[in-house]
Amino acid sequence: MALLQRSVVEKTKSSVIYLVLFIGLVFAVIGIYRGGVHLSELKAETVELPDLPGAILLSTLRMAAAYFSSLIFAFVFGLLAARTALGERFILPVLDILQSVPVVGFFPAAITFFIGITHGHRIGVELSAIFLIFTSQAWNIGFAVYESVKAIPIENEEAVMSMALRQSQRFFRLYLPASIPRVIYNSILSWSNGWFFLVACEIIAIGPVKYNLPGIGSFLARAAEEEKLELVLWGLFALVCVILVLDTFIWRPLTIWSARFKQEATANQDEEDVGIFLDLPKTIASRLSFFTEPLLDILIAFTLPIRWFMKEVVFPLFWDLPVALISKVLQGVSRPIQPVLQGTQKMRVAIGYFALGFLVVLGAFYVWKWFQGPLPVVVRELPTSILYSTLRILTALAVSFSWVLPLVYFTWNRPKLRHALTTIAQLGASIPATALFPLIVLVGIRKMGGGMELGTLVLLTFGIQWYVLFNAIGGAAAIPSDLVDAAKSYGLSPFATFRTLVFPSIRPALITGAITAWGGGWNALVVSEYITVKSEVVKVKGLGALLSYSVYELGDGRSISLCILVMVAWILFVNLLIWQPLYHQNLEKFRFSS
Amino acid sequence: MMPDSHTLIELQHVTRRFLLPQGEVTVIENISFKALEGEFITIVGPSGAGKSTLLRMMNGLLPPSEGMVLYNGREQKGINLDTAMVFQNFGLLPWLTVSQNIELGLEARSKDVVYRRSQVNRYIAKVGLEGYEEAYPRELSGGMKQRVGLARALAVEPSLLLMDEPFSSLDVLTSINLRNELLDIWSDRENVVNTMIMVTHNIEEAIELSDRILILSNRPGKIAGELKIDLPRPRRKRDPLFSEYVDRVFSLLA
Amino acid sequence: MKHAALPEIGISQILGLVELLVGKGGREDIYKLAGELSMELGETLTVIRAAEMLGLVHTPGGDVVVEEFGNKVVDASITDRKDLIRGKLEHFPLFKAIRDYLSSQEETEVTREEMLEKLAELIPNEDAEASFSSIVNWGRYSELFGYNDDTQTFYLGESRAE
Repeated sequence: MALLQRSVVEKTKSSVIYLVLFIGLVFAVIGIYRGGVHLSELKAETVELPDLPGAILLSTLRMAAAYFSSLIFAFVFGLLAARTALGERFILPVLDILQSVPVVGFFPAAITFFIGITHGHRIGVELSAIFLIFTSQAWNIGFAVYESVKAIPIENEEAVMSMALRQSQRFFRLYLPASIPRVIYNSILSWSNGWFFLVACEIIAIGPVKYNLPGIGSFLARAAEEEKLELVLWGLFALVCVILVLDTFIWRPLTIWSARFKQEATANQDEEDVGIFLDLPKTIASRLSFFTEPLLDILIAFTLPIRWFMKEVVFPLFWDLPVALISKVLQGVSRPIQPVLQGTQKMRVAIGYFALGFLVVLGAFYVWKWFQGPLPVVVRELPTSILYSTLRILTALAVSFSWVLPLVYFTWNRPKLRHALTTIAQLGASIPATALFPLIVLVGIRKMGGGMELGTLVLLTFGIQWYVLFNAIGGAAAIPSDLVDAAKSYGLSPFATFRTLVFPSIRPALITGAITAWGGGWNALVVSEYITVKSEVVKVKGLGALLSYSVYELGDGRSISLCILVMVAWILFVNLLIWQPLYHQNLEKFRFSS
Repeated sequence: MMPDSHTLIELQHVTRRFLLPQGEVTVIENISFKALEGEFITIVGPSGAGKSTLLRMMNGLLPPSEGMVLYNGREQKGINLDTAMVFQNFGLLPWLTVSQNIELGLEARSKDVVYRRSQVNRYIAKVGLEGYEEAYPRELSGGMKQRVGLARALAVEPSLLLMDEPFSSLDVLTSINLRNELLDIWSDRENVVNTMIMVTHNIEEAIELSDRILILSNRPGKIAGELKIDLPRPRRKRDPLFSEYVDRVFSLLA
Repeated sequence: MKHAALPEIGISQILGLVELLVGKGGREDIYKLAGELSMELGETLTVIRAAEMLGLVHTPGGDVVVEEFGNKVVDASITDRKDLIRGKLEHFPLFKAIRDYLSSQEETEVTREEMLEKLAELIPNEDAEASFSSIVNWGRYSELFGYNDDTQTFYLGESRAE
């Protein structure tokens, strides 16, 4: 989102909105964890032996369910944000904040909520897992929809409007097609994210909290717990296979197909290499899509009567009609109100700020009161935890940079190598680092006695280094060729070229990579600083561990909310005050003016 | 084409304001005029004078802030389905072929697929796009794209055709070509369209094409003058009367 | 046999040129024309060359003059124009070669790749890719052959759109 060139007024307004939303978050979190968390009340069922195909199938189904919910969410809110002024003002910051919240922080809340509703039934646990995956996917896709709709040329919108198409027709003819390229691109990223959390949910399922969530994550955790290295490896293999199969047969063809919806679609098919490009020659890959297209055609033919029904009956009745009615009502109401609204604008703003101030004070009082009494134990640990966790992420970042930069040095001007690296990066990014826990625990801690600190660090690095690599390579690919030629013609040595041209050019990309790694790192932290193996807790000093400790051992609402809020605040703080300005600063300096 | 005395569309004391970040801006102020059936009217004026806004109000895309738009004597509410618009930057959907783009305009008005297809083919022929049915906008030159825009508008058989600087995005030679073809279409007896209102900043184009020119002043847009063009078509720029008209328009613009 | 490449100019511009000239009485000096149109000389020459190829104008000295055929085209209706131009293009050696090539194929169609290869044979020293779009354009206009970007096939005769 472009924060460039905004007036001071605009920046103040948006900061205020972020502040308000954060306060809202504070209230929400406190409200949710008021009564503490009592996970030990959950039903215990253990999953015995390896039913690998079943496990992987279940996990995939959960992912699909979450994904389709995310799509619906994304289209509803993305459209609202793009088409209404109010939506733009509020929905975007909400999505932004939600994106920063470490999902796993809400994990216990989700579980208690859904289990409470379904009275301990297994379906509640499933729903909570699906909900959590949803929260790792939805915001991303929402942004994709928003950006796509905003990018529609105004005349295309006006043309469609002047044809008096119904709301639902406009959606399917304009807004949906226009969103497809970015949605598919972001969906691929979202699925990577999703696998991460799915596996984490299922792994956490084994531990002091015993409930049944059969899937690939719990399979791996169980196998590790029972020290069956072979099974762990098989499990990992199955996971990688599924990811690759999905990529080859679904994402790759979809990406090729989505190219036709781009606004500036040219006949050229320059690789927007998103999926994992398994060494398949280009022709085979496109023939695969040739294969899936007729299948799609058959599918479409089969669903013809359903589609007719939807188009002629359902949508007009349940979409166009209500929308038309609501707009009529709103219009009827707004006409008389307009002059009143205009006249009182200044007054309303003043009242707004006053109310805000009042709420802040009230909230602060409420929060202060809530935290009265004996301070939660964790408070003492907070500063050091934050410090340790931050240091850990920074170390992981440093490690990532230490091998990414030399790689870039050797490959920035070799497209084939770059291409291969991108493939590897995507492969690496898609495999949830969390799936490797059991392996690391099993091999690293047990058999090699490496110690938990190292284990956590390894997991962390493994999780975030792909972001850095991916962005760095992308940045290197974007260096204009005439600058490269100029450097060559001046006879600059490879090192000098790197120092004076390449490195400065990729700085914005590196910073983007760092920002993404920072955000992703916190999610990884939460699950890697605290692990239960055979009812034994292994943990290190850090904010993630503190949170897990609060949830699983203390069950204390105040500690939990404190950890969550501190984490979110810290992430947002560093993001808004350090990363964003750093990024814009570098962008301004090194942007290639067109 | 001899103008009828019947008023097709009328603007009565129309004002249009926009709420922008810097405050409220009045783009059009108190404009009243009538367009008679059978007329070809152009609206000229400096950029920013609100010409495009005026056109969109006639289409129904924008409601007036004050005043009324009357069509055939009745107040217009919402999109006027008896009008169709042609856009400066063509407004074609990139993922639809030429045929599909043209058909889109008909989708809201008719469920009869056979009828729609025949209309599409008919108007593809009228604008000379035969052979291009399956082409995508990205494969077309500007001139061809605007032909699609034109065909799309004509296919719904509107009584009033609205054009927003239809030739501004085209190179000189292509616009000459399309202007002439537009006149051909205009004089085609078979056509349902008999009234055209076009916005342009090209004065010569205005004089070459229209019966009447409306001259708009700068913000807020008001009618600075009106000019009837009494030259027989086809009109030649070398004609001394032509240059006279050009001078008159310029003086009214000043 | 080698053919000259097609100028990368659309039909609209060619027709526009001839119409402009007719409006000027049928004749104009090339330099003056370029100046009047505020076009680069090179570009003006390309359009003129294309018009000449179609027999619409000829260029004696430094002038461009409208041919009888050109007058006919300008006076014709939108549909008749197409027929007239198709009449000319049918006899173009390059188009003939392409049509022969297509006729010799099964189902009278080839892929984009195959057509590009063929063009590289037919048009020497030119970027076959660049000529490709002109050829598609003129081919479609004259309905001598068609092209479908979805299936990337090039085929003989009228459009096969449903």
